[in-house]
Amino acid sequence: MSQYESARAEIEALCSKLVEGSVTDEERERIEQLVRSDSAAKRAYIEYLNLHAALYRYNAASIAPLCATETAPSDTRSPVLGFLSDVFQAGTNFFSRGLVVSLLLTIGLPGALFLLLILHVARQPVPSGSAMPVAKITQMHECVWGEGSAPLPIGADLFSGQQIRLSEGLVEIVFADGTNVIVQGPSTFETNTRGEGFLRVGSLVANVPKGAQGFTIRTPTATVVDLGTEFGVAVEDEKDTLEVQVFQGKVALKTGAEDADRKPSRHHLVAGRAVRIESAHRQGKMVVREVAFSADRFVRRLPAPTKPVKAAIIADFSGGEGNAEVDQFPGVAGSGWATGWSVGKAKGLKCITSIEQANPLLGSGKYLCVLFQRESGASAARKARALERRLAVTDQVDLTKPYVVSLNLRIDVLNRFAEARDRLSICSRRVSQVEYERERGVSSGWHICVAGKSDKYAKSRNWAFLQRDKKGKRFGVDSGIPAREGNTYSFRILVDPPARQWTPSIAVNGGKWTAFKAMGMRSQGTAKRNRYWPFLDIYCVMEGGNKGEDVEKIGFSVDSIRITPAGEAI
Amino acid sequence: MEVCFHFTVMVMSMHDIDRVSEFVQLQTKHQQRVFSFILTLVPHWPDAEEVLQETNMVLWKKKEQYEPGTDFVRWANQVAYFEVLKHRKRQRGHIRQFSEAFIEEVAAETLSLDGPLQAQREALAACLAKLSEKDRALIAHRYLEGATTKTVAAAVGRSIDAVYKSLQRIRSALLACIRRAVVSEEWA
Repeated sequence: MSQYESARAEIEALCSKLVEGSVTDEERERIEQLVRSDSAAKRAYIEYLNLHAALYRYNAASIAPLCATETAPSDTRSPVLGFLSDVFQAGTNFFSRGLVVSLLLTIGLPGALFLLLILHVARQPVPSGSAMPVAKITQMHECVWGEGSAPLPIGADLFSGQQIRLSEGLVEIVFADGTNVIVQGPSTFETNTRGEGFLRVGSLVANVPKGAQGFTIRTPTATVVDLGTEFGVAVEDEKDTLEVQVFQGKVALKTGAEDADRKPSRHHLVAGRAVRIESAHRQGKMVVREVAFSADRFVRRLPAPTKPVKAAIIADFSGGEGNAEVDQFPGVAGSGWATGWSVGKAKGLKCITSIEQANPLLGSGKYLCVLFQRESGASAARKARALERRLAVTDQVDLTKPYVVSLNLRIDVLNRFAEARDRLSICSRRVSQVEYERERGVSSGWHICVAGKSDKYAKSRNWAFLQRDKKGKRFGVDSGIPAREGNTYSFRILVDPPARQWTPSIAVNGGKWTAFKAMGMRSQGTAKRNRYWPFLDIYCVMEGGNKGEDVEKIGFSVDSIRITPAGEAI
Repeated sequence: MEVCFHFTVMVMSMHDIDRVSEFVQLQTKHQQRVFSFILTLVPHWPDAEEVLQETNMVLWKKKEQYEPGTDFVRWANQVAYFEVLKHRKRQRGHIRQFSEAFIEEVAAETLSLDGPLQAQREALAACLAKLSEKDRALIAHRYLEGATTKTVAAAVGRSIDAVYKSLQRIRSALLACIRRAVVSEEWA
């Protein structure tokens, strides 16, 4: 083995440990030494990590189909194929999630065309065929989603074979080849490839830019192939009837493509012309006849908004339990929420959640009831667990500008809540267990808490505000308002990211508001530069442990969560 | 249940729409190249994903600065590089990291190798096809979300050590294969 091959073999062995997370400090140092001293080792290192990345990204799209085509017919699932199919599906979801999350955070300016909010897509059934999105929803206008079709936000990626059902309104979809399609409800439309869609029923207009010629719209009756143009297609429900109208350029029209029994025919249609294609069942062929061109037949542009839409991010749990809609628990991403709710994980700390209607908070209807409970043991080991939801930074509300967070929270139970570290907090901090250590104190902009024991800042069981002063010193402010079981507390927090301040107000049982002075942000963390704290967390920390039947519990109910731009009525 | 969404639609010129549309296409198209660049500098996959998220956000904010027709990947990777540095700063003291000099050298080399690395990624499909079914299944298992050597071992009923060695062997075989494929293509 040459010196070159030897160095490469060594770096590959080390990289294998690196990517599997089993590399030791000495081995990491050896990688550094090799990479920095040997250009071949450096290239080998880069190639190895490149392969690792490609396998992550490629796995879903390629490995399973390769196996499927080589090993057995697609209609019989061998154990291996079945496994690979599952792997493929899961991998596809994985990829979509990765891209989703990353593009989600790419969300643009308020009111901009492309708000890349895609987490929701990860929850959509992503059909096998491709892990790469083939199109994206870029605009909507007064959309009502059809039955069985989960709502998609602006910015959602669409994958091969993904179907959207629109009952009313307009959706603009931009395909990966740049083609702009406006789907008009009621319609059922599928994105097939980066240059092809299937209109099952309904109508659409496709505007195909230069370089994307050949864009194809398939229908149950015929196939319309663009030859550089703008055209409209309408498929009538439950009839083998299709209308095609060309606004600019030219299209090729092929009938019978979806049905082998029908004799195919080909036509060219130019601007200003329209045809209707109908099935003549007895003859087993399609009849194409010219009809009057009507400029009003299709919607070619999404209308400009007639009035500003009030921005608000809301969670009042009116949708009950489920993960199909935004306002459910755990819910899905959308309308300003970047994710659904999560309750994290913590060994030995159980979390019970339910949507309740009885005994509503300040008469507001359904609400979320949460109970954190230490499962066993008198151990004083500290446990933390969070109810958490991530916010989209610039979707409904621009979190980089002043905004108001308001919510109602009822204390249902605080049992064995007597230690200094026993805490119930409401904050913009992220404390999911996986990230806890890494992000400890990182994203906490505003922070309201109640502790089990008095400290130098606040009495036990009094609501307190945690903050830092301009010198970075942490301290708390006692609100003087006790947190009592059975009471409902309304919080209103004016968050001012540019000023790095937050101003809390509290009302008890729907009574008079008590306003407090402006507080400094608890910590800046990653938000220091970007000026946003994109989380809403309610978390508990338990320290004391159980004593027989006397179990550590923190229970609360929450409702009417609303995040609005500052200055708007809440 | 039907849910209604009402969204604000901003009036934009066709020129703006074309530009944004092109930007979205470029960003989508080159996600893998940017992710690959990041992973080279941040080998821990969840961290690399996080950096990719931050990078995408910065790219989107700076989209006006991108000049159509120029090298999008290079620009995106340069942005990613700074996000990697920020990520490292955040993690300092928490985990062991490569030195800054290492990161700087590897980043520069990776940027210069973008073409060959892309060719290698494109050659991967053919090389995966040459694997035995068993090896492909192992790779498929390993690269599922959240999978580790331990979970793969449990899934396939083999020891962790055996799975680890197999993965090392398969990845080396894939590397050898894609290197051969790219070389033969260059000479074809």
